[in-house]
Amino acid sequence: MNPATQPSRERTPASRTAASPGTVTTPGRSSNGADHAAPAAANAWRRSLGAASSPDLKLAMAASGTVLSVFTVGHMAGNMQVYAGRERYNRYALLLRGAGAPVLPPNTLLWVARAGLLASTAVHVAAGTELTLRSLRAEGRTVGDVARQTTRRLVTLARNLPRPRVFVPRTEAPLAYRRAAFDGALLPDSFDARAPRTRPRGRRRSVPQIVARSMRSTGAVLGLFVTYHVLDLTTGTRPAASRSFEHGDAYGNLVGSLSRPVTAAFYAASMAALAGHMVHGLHTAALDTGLTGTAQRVRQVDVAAKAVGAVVALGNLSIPLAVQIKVVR
Amino acid sequence: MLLTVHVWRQAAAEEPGGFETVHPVQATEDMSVLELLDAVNETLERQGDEPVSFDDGCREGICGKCGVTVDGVPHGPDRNRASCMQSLHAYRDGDEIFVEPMRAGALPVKKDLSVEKKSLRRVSKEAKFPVAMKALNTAGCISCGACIAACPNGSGQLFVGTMLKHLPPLARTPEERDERAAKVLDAADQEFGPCSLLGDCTEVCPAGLPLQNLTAVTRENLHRKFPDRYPAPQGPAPGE
Repeated sequence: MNPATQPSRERTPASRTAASPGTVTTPGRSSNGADHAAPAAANAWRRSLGAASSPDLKLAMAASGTVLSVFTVGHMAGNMQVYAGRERYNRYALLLRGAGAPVLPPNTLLWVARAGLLASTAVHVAAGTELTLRSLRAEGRTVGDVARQTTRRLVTLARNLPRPRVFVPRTEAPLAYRRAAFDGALLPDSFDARAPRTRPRGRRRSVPQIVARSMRSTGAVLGLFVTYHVLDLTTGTRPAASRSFEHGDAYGNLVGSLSRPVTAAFYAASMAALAGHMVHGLHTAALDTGLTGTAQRVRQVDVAAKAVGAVVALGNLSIPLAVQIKVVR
Repeated sequence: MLLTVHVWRQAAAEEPGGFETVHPVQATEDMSVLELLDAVNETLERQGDEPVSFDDGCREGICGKCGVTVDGVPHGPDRNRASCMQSLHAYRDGDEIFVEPMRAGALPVKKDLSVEKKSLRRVSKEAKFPVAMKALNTAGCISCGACIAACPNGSGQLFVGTMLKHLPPLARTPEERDERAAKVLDAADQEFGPCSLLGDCTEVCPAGLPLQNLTAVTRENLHRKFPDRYPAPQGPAPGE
């Protein structure tokens, strides 16, 4: 164990083990190699990420996040060529595959870029996981607490959704009481010690604040979206891809995929998540690299982050919309 | 107005705690949160219960001793005020209020509403205590710990950043300066969580410390890791 690690870091080794990627802990099973594999992975996690200081992990988040953001901007800009017609767009797709053509074999640069993006994603997710665990520990909460709170909040949200009012004639109050499911844990009115309170008047959270504290959920949405996006338009795997998928015809595949309304809606929703994640992510990256030293800089960075996020999201959002209203076909 | 106050009761640090409902509590809108707690204790004493204990100090917003969480907001409903300088204008007759201790791993509960704020002191001590106090006083920080309680990450970066921002002019040599900053960074990393730039700290801080103070931590860290590329930050600009 790292001697520099203080007790506060080691308070919950179990939660860290459970969260380390690629670790499947099976408490029931003894003997065999599976028993030794888990501590080894946990040790590797502790030595690499656990030993890094929080500002350093934040730097890793900022660097990998910036790489991914730059890619997203470039990806959006390239995709705008869909408005220039089928031929132009397919030529652009070919250009990406054959970049550095006379010197390098085809697809070389493409795979270099893919490897870089994958590495950035891995660093981003790993550092984010470790930082999340640290923040939970610093708040004095466990993963179980968070799961319980999230469930409660979702249930409350679902209960408060507007629903059609149906007139029901009043009947006598029931005499026999039913025991609540899960011992009343899902009832929104029963307050437990750690449940979030309704904030006082004037202190309710604004939308940007909610977006800022949703980085993990928007990140998860983006992870699912990217997976689907690659299966849909890169590998062409059914059922993610449309029936008309054809390797080499990037334009046709895009139109075929996004003319499905459900897919188009999912793409649009993911772009909202992307905008939120990018706006707060770029702002935080500026902080973590020491760019926001004065109040003026804070404002400038805020505006710049919002502009980049909005441009990328709106540019990308326009494509499913254009396909749906048959501007692009 | 009459209020119902759900107040956190916890016999000792290791004991499990829970809310006790106190009703009725006679309050007025210009009462501070601590005066509300006094009113709660009056009701409790009239009912023959043990009064709730809470951190209490100067009641002028300068000692940094007080601090409770009111409806999930550290210090209380008003922005940038210590608990003793709050008002109850956010509440109406018949409202329910939840009063808890400040919540953070770095601020363990001692009894009922009073918390242990030694983690702040431990970080200050790394920078030679009188020097750290001088730096914090210059900035106006009263070390109340509300920034840590407000942060969903349990991060004290506003406190640490403010200290680091005002430390450099107080050092005699660059070596002393770097050593103090490094020690504070290490101690802060052990005591507090990572910062996510959510800005909740700046809303509760009684001194109204600004968001850009957070950057002092990342700048000191960059200077420590790459001293050649990042020159040492030299403290706040004049007039800041």
